[in-house]
Amino acid sequence: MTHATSGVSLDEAQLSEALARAQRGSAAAFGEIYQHYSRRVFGLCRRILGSTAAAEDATSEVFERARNALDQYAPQRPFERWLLTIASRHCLNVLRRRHVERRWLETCADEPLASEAPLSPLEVCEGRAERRALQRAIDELPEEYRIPLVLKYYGDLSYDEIAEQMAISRNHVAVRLHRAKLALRERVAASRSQD
Amino acid sequence: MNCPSELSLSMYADAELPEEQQRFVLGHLEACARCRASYAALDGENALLRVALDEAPFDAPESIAFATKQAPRAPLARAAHGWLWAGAALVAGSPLFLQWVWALVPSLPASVSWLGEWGASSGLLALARAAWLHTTDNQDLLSSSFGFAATIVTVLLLLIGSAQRRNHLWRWTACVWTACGSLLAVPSPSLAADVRYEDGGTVQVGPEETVEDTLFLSGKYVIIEGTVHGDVYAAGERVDIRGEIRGNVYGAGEAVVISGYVAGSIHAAGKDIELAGRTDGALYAAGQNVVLTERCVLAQDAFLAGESIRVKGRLARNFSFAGEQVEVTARVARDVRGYGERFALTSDSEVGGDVEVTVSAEEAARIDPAARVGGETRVDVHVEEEKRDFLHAGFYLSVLARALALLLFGLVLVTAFPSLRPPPPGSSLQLLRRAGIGFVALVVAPFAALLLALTVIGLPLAVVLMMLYVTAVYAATLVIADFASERLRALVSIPALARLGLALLGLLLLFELPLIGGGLRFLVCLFGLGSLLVHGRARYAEWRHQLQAAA
Repeated sequence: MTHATSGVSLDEAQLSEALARAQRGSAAAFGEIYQHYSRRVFGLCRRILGSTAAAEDATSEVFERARNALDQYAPQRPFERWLLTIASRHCLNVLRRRHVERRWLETCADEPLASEAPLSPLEVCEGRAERRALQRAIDELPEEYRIPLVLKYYGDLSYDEIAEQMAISRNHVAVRLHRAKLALRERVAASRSQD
Repeated sequence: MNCPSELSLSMYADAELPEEQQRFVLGHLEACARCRASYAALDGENALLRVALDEAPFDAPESIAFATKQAPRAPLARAAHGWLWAGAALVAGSPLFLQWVWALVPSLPASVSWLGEWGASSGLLALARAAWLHTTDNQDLLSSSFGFAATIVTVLLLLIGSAQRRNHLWRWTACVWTACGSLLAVPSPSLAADVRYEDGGTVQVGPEETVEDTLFLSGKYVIIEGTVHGDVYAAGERVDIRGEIRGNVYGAGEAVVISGYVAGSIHAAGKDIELAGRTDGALYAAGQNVVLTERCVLAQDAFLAGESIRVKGRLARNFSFAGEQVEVTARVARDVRGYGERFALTSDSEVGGDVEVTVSAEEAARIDPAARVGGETRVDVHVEEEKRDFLHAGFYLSVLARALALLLFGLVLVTAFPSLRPPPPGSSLQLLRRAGIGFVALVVAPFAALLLALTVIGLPLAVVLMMLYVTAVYAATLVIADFASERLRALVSIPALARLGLALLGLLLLFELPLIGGGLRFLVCLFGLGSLLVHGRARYAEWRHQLQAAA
């Protein structure tokens, strides 16, 4: 899945050509890549870090890192995924520093799974207002749920990648994703009943 | 039928089940309508989440600053950047230009004449030239006009080159070389220099000898009996100047004895310093024992510092001092001012102006009634209080007051410029980098302000720079307290403002700790200043980026 998320969109061929040039050290080519992906990276950072200012800083930092590591990038792997992996790693580091590590990494890791949700999965949110409610609910999720959710459904990272980033087991990723969805169902249902 | 759990179905929907289980679920779904419905719902939920996450409900900025070394820039911005560097190179090359200015102006107005003195005999210039002469075996770069022209052209090329290049390292290197080149190209007052040194031996300028150049001497014993028309830089175990020096004297040694005539100023440092001749310039001396003998005649001010200072002879201007034991038996035309543990003005003394001394105890000042003082005599007693601050409530109140003041300052700052609040450092490398930048800023900013102030036109800029500098140094503590309060968030659940106040209070208390307090304050200053600068630069880059996007 390729997201052209910025004003400047490049097709696959242009992109791989720009990448090749950037790997040879062209600043202009990296500028094109930046233009193409900055929104996407910003979105991930914003979702994880929760504030626009922090996300902007993180985005700059991520591209700086990406450029420094560009020669380590192997073209077999989708570039966007590679970039988003860097972004998520950076954001998680930011969060780790922001809080004491155990606070968000260990609070729920070993708890047994709560009883299966009585609520049915979310259904298509037709209205804009409803989607907003869902987005708000995502933003309000605790980090331990929000991060895997964003990495999975925004960043398209695999369970294994998420597990590695968050330094938890693959099973915990599954559990957290599942619980994130349960929590979302609950919150969206609550906001519906309020309306 | 044994249905898979919702967790398994959810993992299946994410295509993340191990292969074996995946096959099982697939088979089960074909058979179980209820699970098929659940799976469809979960799959729909995933799709919905993707859509919701992909939509940006927040205001994504039009463009995000990308503060990197080689970020693509608009040609205009690149040109502006180049000029910035040209400016930096110009500052680096400023000694050369200052010297040109001084060469052009034959006599400076009285109010800025001290600038001329500084420019003409700047120790840095002279030392740079001495190093050059030493390494090139006394081959003077300026002895031919060709050499001079070549140096000027090189410096200019470096200036232009540094403005053109886009690589920072190259620019810095160019700046440094420009500075060095301009220092070398600057003619010292006598246009040439003579370097003599003797390891462990005696370096001598004989009684019949006349040296036209600036003279650099170094040896175990340095003796000058002849005449030197330029400045004298002398270092040795014993520096003995008996001859005639038309320039300034810079002397350092275990003993520095000057009994000859010096037309310029004397700058001397050493264990024992003795002055017994006539000097037309000022005297700056620091040493364990500083003695001005009866034959000493000084036409300008004297500034002396030492453990024991004994002054006889005649001083035509003011006498300032700082020392433990100070005894004056001299004729001073103007004021006598200073600080001494013990101070004595003997009966033979004569002071044209005031006598203002600060001593450690009432009885430590002995001013003979027979001494003639033209102006007023004032003796202040400075009693050093015993330092046991921690026992007094006043100490804590003052720390509290300072913390509150900083907190208030921080509130004003954050309200006025919320975006200026720097984020905590990402890694220890960043921390080091920030501290490094902070250190450079701490040192460079006052110098830059001084250089700007010298150009007179740049004076307002220098004032603004210094104001910013002082504010930033003050705010540095605040920045660190802010980082600390972020850390505190995990430990205590109190409002952010209270947390910040607590962190400030803690920091200020730590600053007051004996022994480590000072060092801590310094580190905090470095790190805070660096954080502010790094963050400010990122903000600036962002702003410029937005400007370009708007254009």
